[in-house]
Amino acid sequence: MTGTGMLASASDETLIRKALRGSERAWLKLVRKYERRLYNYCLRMTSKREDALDLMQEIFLCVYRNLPNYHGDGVFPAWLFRIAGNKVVDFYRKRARDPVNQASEWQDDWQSQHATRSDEQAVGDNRLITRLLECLPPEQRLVVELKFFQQFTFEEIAGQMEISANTAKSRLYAALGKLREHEDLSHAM
Amino acid sequence: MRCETVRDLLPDYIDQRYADRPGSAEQHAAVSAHLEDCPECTAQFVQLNRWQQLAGNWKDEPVPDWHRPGLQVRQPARTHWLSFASMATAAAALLLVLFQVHFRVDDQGLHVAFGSDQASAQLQRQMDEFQLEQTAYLDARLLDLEQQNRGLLVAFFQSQQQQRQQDMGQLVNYWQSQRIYDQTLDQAKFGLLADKQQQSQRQLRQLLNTRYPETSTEEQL
Ligand SMILES: [Zn+2]
Repeated sequence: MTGTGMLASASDETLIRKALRGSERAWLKLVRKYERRLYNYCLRMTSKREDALDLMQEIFLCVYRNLPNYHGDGVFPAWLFRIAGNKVVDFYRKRARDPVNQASEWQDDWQSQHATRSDEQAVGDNRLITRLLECLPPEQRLVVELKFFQQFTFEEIAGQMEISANTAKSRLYAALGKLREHEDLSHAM
Repeated sequence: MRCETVRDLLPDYIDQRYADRPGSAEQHAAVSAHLEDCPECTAQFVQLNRWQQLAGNWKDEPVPDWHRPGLQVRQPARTHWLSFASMATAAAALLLVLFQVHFRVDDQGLHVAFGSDQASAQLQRQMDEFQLEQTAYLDARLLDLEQQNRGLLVAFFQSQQQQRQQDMGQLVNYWQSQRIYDQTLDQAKFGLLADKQQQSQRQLRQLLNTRYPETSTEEQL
C-alpha cells in the first residue's frame, strides 16, 4: 500500500494526530473530507453562499486552533459540529447587530446562479428547504439541521448544544410546528 | 401508549437505523397502533417524515474555490522550536541563578556550619520557598510562551487573505518585536530575581547571626 493510499483510508484520529505533529497533508486531507458537508451545512444555516463560505472558513480556523484540545475519542464529527454550532450562534449574533444583512437575498441569489442547471427539481428542493428554515429561530434551525441533515441522535445533539435530550426533542417539535404553519401560510397566499 | 411516549419514540420510529435494535419490533407495533387512533400524533409523524424526506432531497452544492487554512500548519512547529530555544535560554539562566545561590551558600559554609536541626530546618524552609518562587516564575514563563505562540498563529491567520510574502514579513516582524519585548521582560525579571536573592542572603545572614551571635562577620565571609 502506498503512502497516499494509507492516508486516503486513514481515520480522523490518525489524520488529527499527524496534523498536530505538523503534517500539512494530513490536515488538508481532514479539511477536504469535511468541507462539502460543512459548506452545505453553512448554506442551510446562513441562506447565502457568501456567508456560508465565510462561516465555513471560520469554523475550520476554529477547529484548527482547537485541535490540540480534541481528545481523540472517535467522535470527531460530533466535536466538529459542536464548534460549528457555536460559530453559527456567533454568526446570528453578528447579523442581528447589522440590519443591512438581515434582508434575505436568498431567492435572487439562488435563482441567478442556478437558472441554467438541468436539475431544476433538486435546486427547487434546496431553495424550498432554505426558505422554510429561514422562518425558524437559530436554536430551532440548528436542531432541525442536526437531526435531519446531519442525522445525529438526540443525545448527540444534546451534548453538542449543551442542553438536555428532552429539550432538544421539544425544540425539534416546536420547529416542526412552526414550519408547518409557515408552509400553510405560504400556500394560502 | 401515551401520546408523550409516542412523540418520544417517533423520531426513532421513522429512522431505519433503529429498526434492528432489540425490542424495536414491539415498540414499532405499539407506535403504529397508536398512530391509527391519534390524529395529533399522526400529524407529527407526517411532519417528521416530510422533513426526513426533504433532507434526503437536498442536493449538495460543490464548495467554491477557497483558501484552505492548511498552508500555515507547519508554522507552529517552527515557531515552537524557536520559542523553545529562547525558553531554554531563560531556563539555563535561571539554573545559573539557582546555582549561584548554592555556591554562595557553600562559600559561606552554611550547610556544614548549621549543626542544629532546628536551624537547618528553618534554613531549608527558606530555601524551599525560594525555589518554589522560582518554579512558579518558570511556569509563568512557559504559559506566556504558549500564549505568544497562539497570538502568533492568530495574527498569521488573520492576514491570510493577503499575499504570503507579506505574511512572512509580518510573521518575522511580529516574531522579532516579540523577541525584543521578551528580552526586555527577561532582563527586568532577572533583575527582580537578583533582588530577591539579595534579600534571601540577608535573611540567611540574619539566621546565622541568631544562631551564632558570637561569630564575627569576618569569620563568616
Ligand atoms: Zn397521540
